Amino acid sequence: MLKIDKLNLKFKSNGFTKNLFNDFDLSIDKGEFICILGPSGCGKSSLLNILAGFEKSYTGSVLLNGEKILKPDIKRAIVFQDYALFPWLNVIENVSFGLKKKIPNRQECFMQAIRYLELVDLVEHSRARIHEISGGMQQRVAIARALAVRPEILLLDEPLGALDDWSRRNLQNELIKIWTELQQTILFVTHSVDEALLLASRIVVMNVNSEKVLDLQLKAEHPRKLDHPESVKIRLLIKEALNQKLKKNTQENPAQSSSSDSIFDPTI
Amino acid sequence: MTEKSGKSPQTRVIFLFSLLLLWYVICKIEIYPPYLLPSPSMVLNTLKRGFLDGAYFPALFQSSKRVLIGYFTAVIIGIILGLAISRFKQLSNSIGESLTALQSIPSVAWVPLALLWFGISEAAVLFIVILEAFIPCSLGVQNAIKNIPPKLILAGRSLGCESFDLYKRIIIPAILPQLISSLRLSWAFAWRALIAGELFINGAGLGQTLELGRSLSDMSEVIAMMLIIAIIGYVADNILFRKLEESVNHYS
Repeated sequence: MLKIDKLNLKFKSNGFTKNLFNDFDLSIDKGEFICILGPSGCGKSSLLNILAGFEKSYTGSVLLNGEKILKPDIKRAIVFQDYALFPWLNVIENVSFGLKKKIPNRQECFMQAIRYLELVDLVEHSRARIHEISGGMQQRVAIARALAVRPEILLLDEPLGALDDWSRRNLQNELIKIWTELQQTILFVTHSVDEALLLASRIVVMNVNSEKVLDLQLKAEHPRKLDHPESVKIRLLIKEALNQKLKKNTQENPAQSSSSDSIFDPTI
Repeated sequence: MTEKSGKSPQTRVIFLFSLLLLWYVICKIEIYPPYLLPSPSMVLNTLKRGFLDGAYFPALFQSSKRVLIGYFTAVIIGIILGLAISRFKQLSNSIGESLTALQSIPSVAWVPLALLWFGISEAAVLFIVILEAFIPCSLGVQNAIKNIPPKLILAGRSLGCESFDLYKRIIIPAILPQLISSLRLSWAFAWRALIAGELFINGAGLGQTLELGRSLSDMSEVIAMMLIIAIIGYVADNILFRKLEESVNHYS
């Protein structure tokens, strides 16, 4: 469904240019729950920006159902870490935001939005203002808003990063529910190995040089436990893949490795 | 909200009353003779006479008309310019920066030029009012747009909003609270510029009446006008604009 071929991106920041992706390839099938896992700076957010259509200066081909991705579109809905809800609208107006064009009738629009609020268990808060609800609830609104336009792929940019443990666990279950009930294709970017192990049907690991170092299918049933044999095995594989890279990195450039992410930490 | 309930009407009444009392006492002990500082009762009489024989109404009407025309023209210019400057980098590097410099020129400084260009006329006053009032509006819009969280724009775009829709559904609602504050500031600027301009032209108006009082050495007329100017300014600022600000606040 989604096909990335020979992706390259020149990334400019603070005056110097960095070459990201180096002929990155990835193809995603319909119905997959794919986690892109990697340390900060590995380019996973840039990848998401490309898929969302915000970043179009890449080279190579990025196709969704054969269509080149060059601008934002409701076929590819995105959820950010900091929710990005519209504070001047209430909950249901936020959720129906993307529907307005498809469904001009306000009442029908709200009816559709309500279905997605039901899915994330927020119907009783439909008239609440955004600042009146908790962070976890806000993120559920953001997810409902993205789902309401029935995207072909749901892009999640570390959506649980800003939440407390309890909300995070809640939302993880919510995402599994959404994935199974709607058979929604989900691309989830995170730097938490646990999260990837608990949620994904497939894990792609990227290293600091934005190379794909691992691509694995997960078969275990949801809800999963982190001490499940499969999870333990995969965690080991991830650690190995990244440690390998880490050693190489340390030899090449010792200063850089000290800034590496928690993902390299063997205690996780 | 707590701030509002903390304000008791008694405090205000007591404060105003003490102010009046102070004024009265200063007059009573005649630090200044009455023709320099008229007593509260003299000013009150002047106000009463002015309203009862209808002399103030043309002045009020003309001044309101001028300030409203000038203000709304300024607001429209200011908002459009602000949006344009935010949209186009070249504009922001050229006009955008000179606006701040322009803002530091007080309205009175424009009077000589305005009188030469437009004559001793209504147009001169309007020119000064517009020139003063569009700047805070324009700067406010630019600033507000700069402060929109970029993620909101991205979220809007990925939900199908581009170009015009993006302005209508994201940018305008996002800047609205700050826009109202700018409108409020613009109003204060317009109102001051109006009075400054009116001091120099003929015909009816609050500024002209004040100036007339000065040339006739009628200080109670001057103070009466100052009071009217202050009350209108206060009502607009603290009642009209405050209500408006509260109604568009995202977090209330």
